[in-house]
Amino acid sequence: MTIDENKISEEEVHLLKIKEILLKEDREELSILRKKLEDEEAFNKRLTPYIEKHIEDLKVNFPDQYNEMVSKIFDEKLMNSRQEIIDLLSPSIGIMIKKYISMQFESLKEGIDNQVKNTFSAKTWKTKFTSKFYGVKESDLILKEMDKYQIQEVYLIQRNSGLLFGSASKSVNLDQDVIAGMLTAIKSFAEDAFQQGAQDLDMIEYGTYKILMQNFKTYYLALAITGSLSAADKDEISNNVLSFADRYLGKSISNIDEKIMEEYSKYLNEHFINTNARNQI
Amino acid sequence: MQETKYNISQGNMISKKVILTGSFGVGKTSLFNQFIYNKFSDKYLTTIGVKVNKKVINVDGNDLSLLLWDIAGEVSQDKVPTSYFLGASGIIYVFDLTRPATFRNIEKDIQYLNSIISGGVIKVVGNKVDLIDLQNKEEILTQVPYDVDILTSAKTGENVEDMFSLLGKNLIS
Repeated sequence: MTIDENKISEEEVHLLKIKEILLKEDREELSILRKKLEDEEAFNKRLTPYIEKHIEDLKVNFPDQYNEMVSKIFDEKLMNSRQEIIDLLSPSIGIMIKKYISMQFESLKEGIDNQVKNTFSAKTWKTKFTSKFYGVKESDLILKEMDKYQIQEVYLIQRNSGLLFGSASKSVNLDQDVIAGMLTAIKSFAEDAFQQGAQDLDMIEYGTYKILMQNFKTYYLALAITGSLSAADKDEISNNVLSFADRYLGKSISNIDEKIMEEYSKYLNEHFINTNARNQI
Repeated sequence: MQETKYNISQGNMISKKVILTGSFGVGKTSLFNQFIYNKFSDKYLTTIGVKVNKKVINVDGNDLSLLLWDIAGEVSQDKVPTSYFLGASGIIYVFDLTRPATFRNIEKDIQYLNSIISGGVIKVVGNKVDLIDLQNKEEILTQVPYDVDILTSAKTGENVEDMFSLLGKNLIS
C-alpha cells in the first residue's frame, strides 16, 4: 500500500505504517486464500468429497428429514390436479364397479335360487307356477319383485309456460317451481332442436333416476322414478297417469294460484306418492 | 309410513312466467342475479341455453311468484327456440346503453315478441346506466328508436327491484 504523505497528517501516517506492519502476515494469508478460492479446479477438487458425503447422507436420511415437506407438495399437486386424475381414472373405475355389481348380482341370484329351493310358501308356489307357465327363471321373477320401480316425485306442469300446477314428492328437494321450469326448458329445447314432427320428449335418465313425461294438450306430467323399469311397468305408469288425468284434469285453468296448486298437489300425492291415502278415501 | 311432501298454500299467490331477452352481453344474467341473489360479477360468462329461477315479490299487498327465464343472447327466431317464449306473461327486453348495436333492431324485435305473446306485458330496459353520465344519457336516449320504460344498473342494483315491481304491477292489473 502506498501512502500519500502530503495529504494526510503525520499521526495518520504513523498509524497506517503500524497497520501495515501488524497486518502484513494476515493480508498475505488472505491473498493466498483468495487465489485458492478463485482457482475453480482446485476449489472443486477440495469440495467434491464433502458434496459426495452429503449426497450419501441424504440418501439415507431423506425420508426422515424431508418426508413432511414432500408430502405437503404432493398433496397440493394432487388437489390441484384432482379433475385430471378423475378423468384419467373414471373409465377404469367404471369398469371395476360394473364388474363388481355384476358379481354381486350373480351372488344375489344364487342366494335367491337357494332360497327358492328351500321354501314352500304359497307365494313360492305362485312364483314357481308363473315361472313354469311363462318360461321365466324364478330368480328373475323374485329379483324383479325386489327391484320394483318407485315413484319418488311427480309434477303437473303447464305445457307452454312450464308453470307448476302441483307437485308431490317423497323427500324434500329443490324448489319445485324451478324444477318444473327447467324440465320444460329441456323439453322445449330437445323438441325444437330435433324437430321430429309432432314428437315429444318422453323420458330423461339421470343417474338412478328416470324422469318419465306424459304429454297432454295443455299440460304434462313428469314422474321421477327409481328402480328398474320394464316396458310393462311403463305401460302401467302410463295407465295410472291417464286415470289421474281422466279423474282430475277435465277443466281448463287460466291463472295458476296457490289454491289450485294446493288442490292438485293433494291429488298428485294421493294418486302417485301416498297411495294408502287414496285407498282410504 | 314414509313422509311425503306436497305444496301447502299460504295465501293466494299467483305465478307468472317472465322472459329476460336481448342481445349478447347486455346484462340479462347480471340483472337476473342481482334481482334473485343480490349479487353482481364483472366476469362475463355467456348463458348456455336457458336458466330458470323464481322470486316472490309483493305488489300492492299481493304476493306474485315470478318464474324468470334468462335466455341466452339474441331475440331472433332462428337463434332462440320460439317455444321458450310460449306461455310467458311478461318479457323484459334488455339493451346496453353503451352499445348502440344492442338497440338498433329494437322495433323489429318488439314486434316479433308481441306476435309470440299477444297481450303480454313487454318492458324495455336500458341497462349499464352506471357507465354513462347525465349528458350522455339524454343523448343516447334520443337515439333509441323506442320508448324506454326504465334505466337500470345490474352492477349497482339501481332500479333493478323497481323494474320488476313495475312489471309485477302490470302483470296483475
